[in-house]
Amino acid sequence: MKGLKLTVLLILLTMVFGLASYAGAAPIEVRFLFPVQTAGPLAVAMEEIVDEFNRANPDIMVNAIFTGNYAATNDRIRTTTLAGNPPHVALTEMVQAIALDELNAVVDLTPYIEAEGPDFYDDFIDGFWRGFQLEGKILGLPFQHSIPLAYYNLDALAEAGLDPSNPPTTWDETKKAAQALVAHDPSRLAIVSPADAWILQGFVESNSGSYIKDLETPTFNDAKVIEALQFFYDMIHTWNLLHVRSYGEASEDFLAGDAAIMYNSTGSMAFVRDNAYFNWSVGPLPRNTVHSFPYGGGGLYLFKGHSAEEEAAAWRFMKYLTSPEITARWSRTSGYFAVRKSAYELPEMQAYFQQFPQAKQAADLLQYTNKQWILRRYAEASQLTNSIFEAILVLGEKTPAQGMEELQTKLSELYK
Amino acid sequence: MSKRKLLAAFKPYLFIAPAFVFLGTFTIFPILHTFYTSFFRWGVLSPEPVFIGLANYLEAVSSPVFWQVWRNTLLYSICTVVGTVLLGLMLALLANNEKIRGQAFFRTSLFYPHVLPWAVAAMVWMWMFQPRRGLINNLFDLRIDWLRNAAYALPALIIVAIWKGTGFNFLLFLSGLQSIPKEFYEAAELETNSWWHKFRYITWPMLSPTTFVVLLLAIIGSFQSVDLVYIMTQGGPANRTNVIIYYIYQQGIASWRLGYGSALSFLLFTILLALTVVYLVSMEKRVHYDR
Amino acid sequence: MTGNSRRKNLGLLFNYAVLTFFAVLIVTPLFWIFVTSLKGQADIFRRPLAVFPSQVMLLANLQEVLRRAPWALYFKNTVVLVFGLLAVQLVVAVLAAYAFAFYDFRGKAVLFILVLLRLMISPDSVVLPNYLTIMRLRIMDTLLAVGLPFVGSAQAILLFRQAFLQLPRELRESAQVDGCGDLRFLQQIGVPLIKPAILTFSIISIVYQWNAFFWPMLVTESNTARTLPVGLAQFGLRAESGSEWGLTMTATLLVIAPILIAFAVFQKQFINSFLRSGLK
Repeated sequence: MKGLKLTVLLILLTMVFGLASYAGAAPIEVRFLFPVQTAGPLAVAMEEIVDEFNRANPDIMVNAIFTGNYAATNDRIRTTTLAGNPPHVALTEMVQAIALDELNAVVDLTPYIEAEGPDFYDDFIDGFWRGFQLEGKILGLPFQHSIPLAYYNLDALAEAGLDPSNPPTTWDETKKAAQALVAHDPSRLAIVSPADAWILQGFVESNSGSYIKDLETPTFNDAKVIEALQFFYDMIHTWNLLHVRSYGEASEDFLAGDAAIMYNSTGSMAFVRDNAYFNWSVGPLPRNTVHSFPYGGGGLYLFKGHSAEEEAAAWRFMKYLTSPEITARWSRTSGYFAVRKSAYELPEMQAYFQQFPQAKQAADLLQYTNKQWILRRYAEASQLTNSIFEAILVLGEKTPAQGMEELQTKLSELYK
Repeated sequence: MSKRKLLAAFKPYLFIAPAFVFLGTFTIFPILHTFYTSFFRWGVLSPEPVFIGLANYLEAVSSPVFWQVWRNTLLYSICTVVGTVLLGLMLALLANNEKIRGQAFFRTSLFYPHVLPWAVAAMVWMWMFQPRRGLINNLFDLRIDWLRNAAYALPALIIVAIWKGTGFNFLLFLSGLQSIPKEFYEAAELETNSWWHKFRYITWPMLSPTTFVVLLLAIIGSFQSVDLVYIMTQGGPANRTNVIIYYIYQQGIASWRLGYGSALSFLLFTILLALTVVYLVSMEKRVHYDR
Repeated sequence: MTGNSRRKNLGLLFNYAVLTFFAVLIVTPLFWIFVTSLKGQADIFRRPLAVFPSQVMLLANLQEVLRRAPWALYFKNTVVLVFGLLAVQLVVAVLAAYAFAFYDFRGKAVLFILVLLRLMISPDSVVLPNYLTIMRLRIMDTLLAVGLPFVGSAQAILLFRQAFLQLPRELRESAQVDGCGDLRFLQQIGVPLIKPAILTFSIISIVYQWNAFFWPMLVTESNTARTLPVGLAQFGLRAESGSEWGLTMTATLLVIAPILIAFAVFQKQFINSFLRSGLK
């Protein structure tokens, strides 16, 4: 009789403790969506970074979900949010900030950031905040950012009698350099570049122009915008010095030695670094009046619809991903910029800059960067914009003046 | 007794029920639902549908891109169908000869693309169309930027589709040819030796049921171009390769304009419905002629 | 006489020449996949383009490809999707075809036309409403979402109905006299007798689902439910940097190997299936 009681008690006790220890050990699940936009084993690298976090934080279990590219990530965010089952954290384009806000899907990070003290905010590279700030809110945490760069094949410049230590910096010099390159070796392309609105924004801003005045006021028919497009148009269609490629094909042509100069995102830097068999450098996009170009890329968003506990866990993970060590490591793996100022002081980053001075050259250009253009109803606006840019620059079937007038009219209709 | 009868009357419905649950959910309901939602503004800026009458349809027909998309779709379908049918027929006529050895080799090498994924076709051809290091430009010493050129982008996709589809039509025609009784030709040879004559009065009429099936399958198949477009061009440059299903995806899913996307989908359905009617009517006729 | 036979020989030579030309043309992309999969990045970037690699990198490429993406998972997903779906398709279609072949019931003609309608309205043209349905069913990003729209296959129903109609009527009548119910008749007599039609449809369905891209791509948003073609596109398309074509073509080879091997081994069945499906 006594034995039975004891047994029952023992069983009960084990159950209670078992449950308690189970509850205590049950980590908070954080679903994290991430895409990969560049070549290389980046998905594997991200999974390693997440694994390390999970090992160091047994109370949190981050479930890293590789979504493919930015577009797939955005689709998944929308479907899960509308179905009431959003992720906790997602890495996606900075320009999605407005769309996510329109969807009422993301948490304003301001209280979290304020709670970390002013040093936290100030340690991020100032410009990177701008894309996430909207109407007094901070909608995302900067994570992987890039700017359009000019990449130079220094051997090709030298062969053509140009000074490799002084690549062209203005529109005029660029045109002359390209002419010299083609004159020297007609089988090699002078310049390859994508011709989308992001790269072109670099040329527009280098001409002191702007695509937009505010979120609902496009200014594509501004004379400065048209002038910049006209220069690019002439480089392609009038002087035959620039060939349009996709981002990917541009780096392939550049790396194959088929093109002496390319304009491309910082995002292709790791690919160039790992595959170039010639001397190369990077510099700013050529300017007409000033050096200024947009930065793009993606940040971390924190989603609504979770318990305070889960949100706090998710924020801890976001902080980890943007910590100086991790952002420096992600920068070296991917080619994107590290987002923390202190990351650049780390010994491993200094060593990296020694080994790849190009990474330092790119980082030095951050002082010139500006926010990427953005309008409300961005998906529609950018589809329309890129299609007209293609008609002008790729097909050459519209002049920049005609095209920009048409684009301005169509976009204005969206925001009537 | 009557209960059993009732059950018996009910039985066939029981058998077809599972099939129609799925057909209903994924074919019939979508058509009706699409028709309904096409009268609403619904999407990013209006999560709750707002009735706007025919506005979505008006937007479609007044948009130049809409017409461009249909032009592309039609051009792609016609060129692919004509290309694969003519090539398939020609090759079948050439191979339909007992003296030709290595039939298995020709059959395999012409037909294998049919069993490959369209996504694979898109990837490998993208690589071959690459302007500088692509096989095609290097082989023929060209400088064409295939997928970014107004004149070549859509034809490039058509080339891929013809590459993938010819073998299938070749097989269909070959088996059609082989089913024509030899005596017909022997009889004809008493009167004429003209190849054209024999083709015109024996081969072609005897093949016509095959040709009909081939054409129909090719038209249905041509809507699969969306895999190619998604991977190779994303509809560019400037919508020159945008086809209807891709456009629906762009507007409906990527831009989340559900009302407008529904209107586009419903227009597509009406066209497919019309094709179905043509199919049914001609099936009816064929049945009368054949047997 | 000799002139005639020489002309015939010449004609035959022409046939061979044209056929060989097109055979080579059509095999070239496959050849190019293979050759590229042997190449390292250095060979890809070499100017001028060389057909064969200076150094065979297939193993290194394969290792890298396997390291970067969960191909085993994609493979498993594809197999589960393809065969799981096929099993359900067959059951659903056999039942429906049986009713259409052997029963008269009210509304039969209309329902049959609905089946034919499905034949023309391919799943790709219903992407938008079906996407919304999948969302509402809360099964986004599962294999269920990839497969469900294909369960009711018009092609299967038509093929099996045709096969049933060709069976002698007395067969079923005598079975009924023996007290053999519908399901037992199907199980023991009906299905075995329409095996050729079932085989035909099976091959078509397997090839179609193994290769499907657009729909699976739309409804899968993580690796958990991605199939091989979707994984391949994911692997090969990199928006911001260049593609590594050697690796991409190695991955391509990996994806098409099973289907090509199956095609080589069961060539006759493959070809007959596609022929029969074409000619009804």
